[in-house]
Amino acid sequence: MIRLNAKGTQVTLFNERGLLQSTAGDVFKEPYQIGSDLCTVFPLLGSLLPTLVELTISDAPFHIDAVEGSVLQDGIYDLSFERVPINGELLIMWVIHERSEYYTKLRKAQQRYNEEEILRQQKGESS
Amino acid sequence: MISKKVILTGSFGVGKTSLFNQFIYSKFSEKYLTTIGVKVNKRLIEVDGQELNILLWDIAGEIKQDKVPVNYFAGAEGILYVFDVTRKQTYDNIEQEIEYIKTLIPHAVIKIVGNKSDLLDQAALDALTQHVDVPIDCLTSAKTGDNVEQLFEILGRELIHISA
Ligand SMILES: Nc1nc2c(ncn2[C@@H]2O[C@H](COP(=O)(O)OP(=O)(O)O)[C@@H](O)[C@H]2O)c(=O)[nH]1
Ligand SMILES: [Mg+2]
Repeated sequence: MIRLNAKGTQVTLFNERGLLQSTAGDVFKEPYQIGSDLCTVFPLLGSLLPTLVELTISDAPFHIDAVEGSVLQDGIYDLSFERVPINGELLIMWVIHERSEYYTKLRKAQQRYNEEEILRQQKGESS
Repeated sequence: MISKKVILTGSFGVGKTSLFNQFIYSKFSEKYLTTIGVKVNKRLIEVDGQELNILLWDIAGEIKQDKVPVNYFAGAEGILYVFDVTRKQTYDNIEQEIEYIKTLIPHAVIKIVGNKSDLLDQAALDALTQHVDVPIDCLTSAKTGDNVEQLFEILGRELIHISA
């Protein structure tokens, strides 16, 4: 269960045209007004909208993990999207959840592995 | 205006993030910072007098069934498959990798990009065509910026034609 007042969380509702209906949380760097076109603000959303409007209420949430973005507070976030009927309209609920600590550790481990592997490949080629 | 989602993919360390930064911010860094997950940004380009909004996804790591989340590919219309011209391992399995991408998104335009062209001389670059199992569409240098604009122009032109 997501606590709406939890730190590092943002819950947003938008319609099929990508227009903001409601939002709460502390992840967006700037406040956006109701009716803002989120697709222009978030290129990620702009490119996903055609996929998201295809979702139905019975579909499992659609996840995009480990996202960084200049419009979000510094950090790495998991995103999920699902369709929710609200007041007779089928909206899209977008939940942003901070996971910087986990992904920072993962990045360090991955970086070490990649660097060693690249070195190994370069050595293998010159011999 | 037309907007198209384009994904940079390929093995780690080939220069996907560097191409992203060169194309979006005209910046390059020698420092390698491993990408975790995804970053998305956009840039408006003009191809043959027509405006095209490129929504560019820079994603982490290698394409292997369980490594790159399939959701990243949803709705993509262009794929830039990048390899490193100095590292054989980054183009050894290119044919299978491309086949796999085609199963994920059958209708996407795929371009094969050999990056770090600044590190090889012309003769070595020419010889590459014999070692890489698929036709190379573009040789780029994210470092010098060489051919980066051209790459997006080539891709952009095809993407516009498809939606026409
Ligand atoms: N000489 C040269 N180095 C490059 C070029 N593109 C990237 N690099 C370097 O290669 C390393 C990996 O680049 P990066 O963009 O992080 O690769 P990614 O893992 O595919 O995103 C970094 O140290 C970059 O500075 C290039 O065109 N020429
Ligand atoms: Mg990267």
